Amino acid sequence: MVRKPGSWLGMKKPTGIVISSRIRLARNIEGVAFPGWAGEQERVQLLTRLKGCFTSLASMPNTLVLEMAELAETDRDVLRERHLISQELAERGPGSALAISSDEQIAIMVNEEDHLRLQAIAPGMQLRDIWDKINAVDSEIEDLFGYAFSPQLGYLTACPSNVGTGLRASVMMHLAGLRLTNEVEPVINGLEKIGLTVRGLWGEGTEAYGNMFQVSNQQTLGHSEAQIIDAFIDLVTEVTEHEKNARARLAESQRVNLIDWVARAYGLLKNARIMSSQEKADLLSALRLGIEMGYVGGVDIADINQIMLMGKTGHLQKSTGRVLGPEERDTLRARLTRNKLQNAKLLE
Amino acid sequence: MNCAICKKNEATVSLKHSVDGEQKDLNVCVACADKHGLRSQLPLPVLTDFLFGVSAQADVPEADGQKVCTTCHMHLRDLQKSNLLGCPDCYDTFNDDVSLLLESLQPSSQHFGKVPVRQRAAQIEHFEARLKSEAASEHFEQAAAIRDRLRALRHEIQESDVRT
Ligand SMILES: [Zn+2]
Ligand SMILES: [Zn+2]
Repeated sequence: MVRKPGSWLGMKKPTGIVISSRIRLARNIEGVAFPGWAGEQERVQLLTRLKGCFTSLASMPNTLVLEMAELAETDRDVLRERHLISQELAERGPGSALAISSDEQIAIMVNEEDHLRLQAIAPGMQLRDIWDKINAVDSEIEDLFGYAFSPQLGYLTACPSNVGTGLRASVMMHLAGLRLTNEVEPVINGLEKIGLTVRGLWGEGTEAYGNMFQVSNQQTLGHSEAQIIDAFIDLVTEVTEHEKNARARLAESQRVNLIDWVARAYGLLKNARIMSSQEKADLLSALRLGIEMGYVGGVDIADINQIMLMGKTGHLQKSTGRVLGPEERDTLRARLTRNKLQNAKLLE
Repeated sequence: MNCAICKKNEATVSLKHSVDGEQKDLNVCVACADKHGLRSQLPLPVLTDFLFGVSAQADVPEADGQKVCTTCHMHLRDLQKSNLLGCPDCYDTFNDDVSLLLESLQPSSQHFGKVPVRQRAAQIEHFEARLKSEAASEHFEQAAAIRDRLRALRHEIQESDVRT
């Protein structure tokens, strides 16, 4: 397992196994009922109190506040597809909002399950950096409003499973190698046994399509933020090593099959006229692996991430400015993908 | 049927639990069952008690025999329905119920993380009291953890005093 062929180490391309990092802090204002129990009037009042502060935070410049009740459904879909808001927030009405920095790296949900869900998001493995960022935003807000806090239980949250630090760290991981070697399941089981949550980004459990998994910590009380993040990074690093090893083993012992898998995905993505979002996710997983292993050129990982996003329903409808039926979506998705991959080439 | 805990996955594990002599089912997914030790270890009643609202201790009853939060008027039965508390004060009102749940979910019942600046004094006071009681009951590991955090907290205060 630990054997690493030189070919892998010699690769200059970033591994991209960790696609993105995220940290969220659950916070509540003292003396105010939690959003799920508060009345609409209370929620609206709280948003009015909070709104002004978001645009004056030094640690979060150029902030835009978007109220859910005022947003069109398509816009809420776009925010959800970018993982800036949850489904739960998208469904909420007056009093719920998103405050978002212009670079989309800091996003604060107001009146979701908690009064505030402060989130920092970044591409790749950047958990420590985004912790510093969101910690700074948190400290600024803490200065302006009294947080609900107890010396015993820490930050008090609507759900007891978030109490303490209120911190949830998560990464999105692309585990195509482990899927091909049939090792995804044991790895996920192992992670769940030691208290992490793993879920398919799309689909359920290990049936996740596109081989994308979201891994996050579960325990929030009893350790410091730094301890939680360090332990989490250690585990993610371990999974990344497993994935690298799986890829290296595949490249060595099943090279032709691996290239065939990538080349078939390449052929379909470049030529298909109709494509469902699930098929696209699975094919892009193969193409992504092909780029990272040096089998495909003329296109980079940033392009793949963009294709992934723009093929989603909300983004498609936003780009055309109207509601699309399932068939229209599948044709448009296929066309956008073909265009984006115009310069892609098989190198093997 | 969706899992009673995460409300997302399909519930495939059915746990029998007796409430006041009446059999009730708790349907959860495999992931949640494992996560909360519902299949392996024994503290099964802890979570089912929380979900079904049966607490080991007799609680301070309200007029209708239910605990209620005086701040937000949430009843214990509301809490059992949603698994969400009504307001920050509910943590005092439903302390016993929440503690049981936390024991099954979290490695410790003491917060060791960030402390808001305006809560620092209260946190130090709390840690000092806990340090005494932990030392008295010879919980040396816990006492050491508290002592470390206390030291770090005092250091933070010194630093911010220097800055301002
Ligand atoms: Zn579940
Ligand atoms: Zn309450």
